[in-house]
Amino acid sequence: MLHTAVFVLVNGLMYGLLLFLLSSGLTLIFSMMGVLNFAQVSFYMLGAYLGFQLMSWTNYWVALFLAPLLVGLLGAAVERYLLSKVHMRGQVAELLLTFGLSYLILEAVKLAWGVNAVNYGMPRSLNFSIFSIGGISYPAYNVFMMVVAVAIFILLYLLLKKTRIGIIIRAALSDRDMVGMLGHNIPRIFALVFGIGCALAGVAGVVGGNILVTEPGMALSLLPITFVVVVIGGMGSFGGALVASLLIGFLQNYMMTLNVSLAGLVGLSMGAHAPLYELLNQPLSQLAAIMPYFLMILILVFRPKGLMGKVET
Amino acid sequence: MSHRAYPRGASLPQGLGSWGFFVASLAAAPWIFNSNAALIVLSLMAVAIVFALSYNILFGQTGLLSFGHAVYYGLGAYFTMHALNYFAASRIPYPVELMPLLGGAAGLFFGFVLGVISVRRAGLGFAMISFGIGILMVSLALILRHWFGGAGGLSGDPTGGTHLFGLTLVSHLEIYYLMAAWCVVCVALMYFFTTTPLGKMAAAVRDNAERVEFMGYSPYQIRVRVHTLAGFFAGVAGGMAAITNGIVVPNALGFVLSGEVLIMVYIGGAAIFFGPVIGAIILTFLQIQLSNYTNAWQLYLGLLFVLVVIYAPDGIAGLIKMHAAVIRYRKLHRLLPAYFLVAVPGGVFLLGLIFLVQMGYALHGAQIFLTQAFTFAGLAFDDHSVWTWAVGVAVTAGALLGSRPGVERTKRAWERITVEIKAAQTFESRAEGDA
Repeated sequence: MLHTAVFVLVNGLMYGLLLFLLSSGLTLIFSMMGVLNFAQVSFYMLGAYLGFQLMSWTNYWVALFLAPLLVGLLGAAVERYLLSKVHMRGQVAELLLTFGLSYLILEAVKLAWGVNAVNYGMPRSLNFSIFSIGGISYPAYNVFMMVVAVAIFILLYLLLKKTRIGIIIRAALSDRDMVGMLGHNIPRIFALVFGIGCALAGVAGVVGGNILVTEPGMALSLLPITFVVVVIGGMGSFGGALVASLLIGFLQNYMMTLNVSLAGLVGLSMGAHAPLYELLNQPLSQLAAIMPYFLMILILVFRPKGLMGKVET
Repeated sequence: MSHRAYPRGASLPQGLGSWGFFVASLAAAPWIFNSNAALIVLSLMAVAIVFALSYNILFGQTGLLSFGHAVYYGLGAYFTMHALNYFAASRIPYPVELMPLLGGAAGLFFGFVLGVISVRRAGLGFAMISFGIGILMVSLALILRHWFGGAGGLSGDPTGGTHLFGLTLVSHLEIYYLMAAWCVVCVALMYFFTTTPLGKMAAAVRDNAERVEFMGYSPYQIRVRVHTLAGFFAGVAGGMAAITNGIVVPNALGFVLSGEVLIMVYIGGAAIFFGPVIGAIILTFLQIQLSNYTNAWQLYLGLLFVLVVIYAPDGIAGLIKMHAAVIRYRKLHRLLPAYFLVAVPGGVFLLGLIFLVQMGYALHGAQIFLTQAFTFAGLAFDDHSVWTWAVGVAVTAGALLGSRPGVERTKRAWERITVEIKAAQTFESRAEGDA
């Protein structure tokens, strides 16, 4: 029992923090610029592949520093040369552009690294068991990933709340034109924000790509769950994104430990040809992957704003 | 968004002309493209046209950007296929020709049920929710193996049953004509919808939902109704696909198809009624033809899509409309020199890009099939040589830079011509007012 609880807590926290790394970049870009970045997870994928490449050329620590930087620069360039051209046409045009971009990044990744998974391993210095529960040992790298995630958020928080550039960014959010009038370069601020948001995804890619798998399908497999986190948490809310990420992380990992099926829970027995037979008789551990979408529907029905959202969009 | 009034009807005789052209080309197509492979492509085009227009009821007309429209298409296909198999097994006489209607009924039902949930938010919220629901449905389809047939899907035989018009649906030609007939009926119905009060209110919700609310309507209820209707036509398209293909797989509900229909509609032109038709025809053709030649076809599609989003937000139909006006006011000759200046370096750039991309893929292929040499336009190139790459990159980049003057010139010419045409139109409308 205790083993299960620790398993759920550790894995849930890990997965939840990874989700938060992804959804916080999305939230940053959305709340500052009003852009829903469909390509957010594509930048995550790019971070993982660049991390793999740089690690094979140099070492992991260089990769951890350089890969997010490169992804961030690419993001800034995308904002500067592509997105800025459609800002005046509104949110749908911006979303469509990033949707097209996700195709381009996916194909570029296939072109550069092929269609199969690459062998992106953990750094040797962190690949030792730090503790083990119930026969499952946890590598130090997983703990390191969580530390990185938490450190990033503290840095981001300090950047936005305590520094001069952070104040300007927040001011540009509430009154873009006025900040421009005061002599600040709005396009450059936008490029910076978009770049930082993409770099966050890049960090997630470097630290998450070797725990999960680094392959061309990795972007599309995480995109819907990232959206679900944002819808559940409330669009544009960092706190909501954090709560929703951890909630999904814990719930999903808890479900994975359950062997009972829905029909078994309520003591229902049914014939093999009854409708929804497979769904109701599937062990809950197999349904963990689709649980977040049901959660999203529940939230939409009972609280359309999301957990901590302020406005309905 | 730069949506115009929709549909900004051409005057009636002109409208009838384009309808006549549409029906005539559907009827005549099999005489020109008469191989079996071509007939299958044509049938799929008819399916794609209905699907794309059903998507545009949401997107172009109501301003709802969906990433999960394939759900209703796929469910329509599954229900049609199940009905076919059920009737065939029970020996009840049934008209195969009308089976897509069952798909439509399924689309209608799920369009309503899921619409009630998903249109609770418009805009970006709806985009994300429709995406999530799409992923949920395709995951469910893979879990409910008994009904959805697992990853292998569900197949059936559309040649049984009674035949209303003597069509046995054994030959590809007969299937094509059935699809073409359904296509014409659905296109006409969807055009009619744009002229109904609900269609007009949908456009009003797209342009200013707040104002619609002040007028006493509920934007939410209008969106639910429109979503239901779009579900119906997507379901019909799914039913048509089930009969054409004889098999339905869970991917028919999936995100890839939802993305494709969005791209079709947008490249064709969402602000103009016939835009999605153009997009559906071109993209179905390219998809089937190009995927035979290159595995980079998605890359080219993505590039085309990004270019359209940035430079031609009203798609191909929008470009046609712009040039029709230019021709009517006899100003095309002033654009042609500028176009020529873009086309020559642009063409070189495009060729260079395709060359580089194909060579990149060949480099990967070479790791697997060691013997294959890379050929482009009938010539062999050494894809391992740095020089080939350097020259390729240099030519491509040079062409991109070389297109600069032409692009600038085109921009200037367009600016002037737009002003002149506007002035001429104002003048005409005043003259009409005086008369």
